[in-house]
Amino acid sequence: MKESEMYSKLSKLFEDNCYIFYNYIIPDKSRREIDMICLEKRAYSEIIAVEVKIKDWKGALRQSFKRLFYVDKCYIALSANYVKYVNLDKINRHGIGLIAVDGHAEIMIEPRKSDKILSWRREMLLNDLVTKINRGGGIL
Amino acid sequence: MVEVYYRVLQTDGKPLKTLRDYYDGIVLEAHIIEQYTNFAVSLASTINKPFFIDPTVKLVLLNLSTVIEKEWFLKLVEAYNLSKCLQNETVVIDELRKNLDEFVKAVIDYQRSRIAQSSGGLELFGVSGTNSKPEIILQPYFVIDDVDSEIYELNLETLNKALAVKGNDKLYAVMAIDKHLLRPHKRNRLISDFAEADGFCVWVVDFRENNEDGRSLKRYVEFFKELSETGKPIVNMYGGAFSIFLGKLGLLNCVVHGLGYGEYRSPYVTATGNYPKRYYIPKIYRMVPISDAQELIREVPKLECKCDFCRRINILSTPERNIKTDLLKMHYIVSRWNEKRMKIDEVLRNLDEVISILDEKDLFDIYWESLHHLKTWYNVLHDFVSFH
Repeated sequence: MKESEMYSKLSKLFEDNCYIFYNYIIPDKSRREIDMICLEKRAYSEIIAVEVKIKDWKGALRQSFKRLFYVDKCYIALSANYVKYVNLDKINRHGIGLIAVDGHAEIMIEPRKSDKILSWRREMLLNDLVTKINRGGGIL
Repeated sequence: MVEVYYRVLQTDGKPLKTLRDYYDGIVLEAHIIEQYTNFAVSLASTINKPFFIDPTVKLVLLNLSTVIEKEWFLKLVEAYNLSKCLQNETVVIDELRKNLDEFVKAVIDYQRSRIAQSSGGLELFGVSGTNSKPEIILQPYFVIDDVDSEIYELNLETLNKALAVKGNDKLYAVMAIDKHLLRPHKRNRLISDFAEADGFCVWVVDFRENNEDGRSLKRYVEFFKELSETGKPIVNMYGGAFSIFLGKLGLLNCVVHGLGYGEYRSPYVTATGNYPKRYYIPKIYRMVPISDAQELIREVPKLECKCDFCRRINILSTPERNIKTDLLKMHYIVSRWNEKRMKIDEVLRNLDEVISILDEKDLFDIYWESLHHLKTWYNVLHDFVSFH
């Protein structure tokens, strides 16, 4: 399975409740890119990031950790074959969620709400996402 | 006590003038003097601190194709009597050798007189106490690839000729060397061949104190240790906090770098573009991208700096685009000055404490690029202090 093939399966988990954007570039100077970002449709109340990898859970953990300063919750999504290699203590410790993807995507660990958020960063993302939605962006 | 010198750019005037009590001197690169003469002369005069000129930093490769069209290039070629040695954008070594006396004398004279020559009349603008004489004179130098090479011999020749015309000035040898020359048998030869100079300027090409592994860093320490045994002063032309610490151990007398950059340099790479905004975290002794700095400080409040400039920067609440570059530079100057005044025991204690906190928070893996030097530095410094 390729990373890009995982996206459509992951979307199914969130598409009922969220606007979804792929390969979202954070509109600051960090040049960081979030594989998948979801904004809850109801009152735009929650921003969720998903970092997608086939097997590199450590790389995904590094990225996800940094997303916790921007978003409310973050998941790592891995190919189901490689989920067994993940150090669950580390994931749990940082409150990051875990999704296994094969025929479909399944949430293995629910994330906790981030306690790291820098509120101005979250606001920057929210404003940008809402602007994009108002212009017709985001998968409904 | 180890001295801190800044290698200046034309954009560094304000921080260096504002904080003139927070560093020991400056280094003016010849091409900056030629390109921004008024700035360089005015800065040297108004801060009234020791300075010296780096005469050939942009000519060290002999192949000059990347600089030949620069406005300053012709001025330096003329000042150094280099035109007859140039062919196809390259300095021809045989031609240079034929004209070596003339070239060396011209480079020495340039350093002695360039600032004085242009500083006449500054009194009219209220600048007094003009300091126009460089503290030391550097031999003309080129990057040394090996101790058996033609360039190596050329450097020894320019050193000997420079010593012959130095008069009462302090003439420093410049060892601009590739990293592999830090190996024991190579460095012994270097140290003994350059021993006649009044002091040494060292440039280990592209040596990044933050990224080197323990073995490489240990060789670097041993090189400075052996060089310091000559009893002559040593200037590290490109170093960071680690070099400051070596100064505390008596292995270095002066560390030079740019303002928030330039703690290493490769002559093979030409920097372009704007000043990259990065934040210096004093507790980890390095610059990091602003976004990483915000996250690290959010996670470990102990990393927060409380200096006046950081209060104004307000790093945790300010997007990068709103952070003023001059404030970042001034914070850097103050941080470096504080490092200079710390005792080595204090440095080791701080390293130990910060490593423990970062380990406890599980941050080494996540911010590896920004943090991995800490453990290497601690081990190398701790071993050196314990052994000596």
